[in-house]
Amino acid sequence: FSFTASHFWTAWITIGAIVAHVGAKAPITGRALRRLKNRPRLSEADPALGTSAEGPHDGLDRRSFLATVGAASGVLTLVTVGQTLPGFRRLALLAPRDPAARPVNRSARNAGVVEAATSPDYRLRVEGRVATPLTFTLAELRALPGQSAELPIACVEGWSYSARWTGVRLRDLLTMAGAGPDAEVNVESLEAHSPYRVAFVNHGQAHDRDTLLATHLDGEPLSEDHGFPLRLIGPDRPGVNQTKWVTKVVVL
Amino acid sequence: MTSGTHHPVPARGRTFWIGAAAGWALILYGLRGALHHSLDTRPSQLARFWIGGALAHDLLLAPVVLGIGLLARLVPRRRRAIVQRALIICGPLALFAYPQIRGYGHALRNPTSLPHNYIANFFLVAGAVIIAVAVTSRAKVNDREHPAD
Repeated sequence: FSFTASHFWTAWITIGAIVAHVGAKAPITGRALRRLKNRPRLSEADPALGTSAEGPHDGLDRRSFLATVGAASGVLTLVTVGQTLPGFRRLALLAPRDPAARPVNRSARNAGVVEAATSPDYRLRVEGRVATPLTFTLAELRALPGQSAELPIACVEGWSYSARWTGVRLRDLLTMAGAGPDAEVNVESLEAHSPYRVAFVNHGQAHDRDTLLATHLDGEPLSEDHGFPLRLIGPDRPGVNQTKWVTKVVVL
Repeated sequence: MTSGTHHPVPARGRTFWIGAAAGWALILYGLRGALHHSLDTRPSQLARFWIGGALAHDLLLAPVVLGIGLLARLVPRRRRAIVQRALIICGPLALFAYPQIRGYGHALRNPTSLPHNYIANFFLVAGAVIIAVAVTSRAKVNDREHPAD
């Protein structure tokens, strides 16, 4: 089954179960808290439990057990949360990714784009509802006025990192092509077989000053795995929609 | 206080029924969506995943945990709480680390996928947990045996 669709609909089922559970237990909890000062000893409330449920124990008592369960959650959090919170990166010893290493979900080899991305025949095309369709080589793109933006790659897997991206503003390309002021676009990748090879960019994001077609990452040319020769990067977009190996911008 | 005081179960009030109605509405919405998008959700596979997970928990995991808990009672009384604390923390830690250690989900030709030495890191974290448990448990014993005046 598809992870995204199944996750989405199962989430609604889970939310509903939690709502029903809270509705059932909240009154009971409220009554118990209101009676807290006058609550009976456990053995008096239910003689079947006897005195073994309270009093000194050879092992953990209830309070210690609950505290230890909390500590277990804390340890699991500490060894993974560094994927998202930079201050904890050194502790993320069991995290599936290391954000400091600028991870990728899909390498250029796995995407099957190495030959096309590094080919001297590579071109970026701007077409669709434009007055002047445009075509650029990589050298021509790099010669355009470059802008930089500090933006995150935030993956739905739970890891993220911020980096400095440099490239040409998407809105500048749209202006050069004579696209309308309310233009929305599809950005297409060299990757042929992926559900995310085409990413929609709405009007607001297409004209955002920080939405770039990046050629550089942290001052260095993009590596193949990071989307060489061109990567879409913009604010408020999940990682899968920060399209790598961009070859076409189609104005809708 | 009389022994065996019986507190009658209150009738289910408004909060219960509002929660039940809203909760079941959301559950039915989710079920309807999962069935309507059956090409993506594959309801029979999804059901096997959820039911299989519940059965694995009830028939495998829970008995194993209960068995380990019973074995923990063989530990001398003075050490029992320490062992229990260490097991409660390291058990879920081991379960969590298992897929990484086995390399499940590792993407070939992607050096950023599962980049750590997870076996070494698991033992490092487990060792730190055991030391922390031993130290804090020892501190609690000292407090009990030598309470501050």
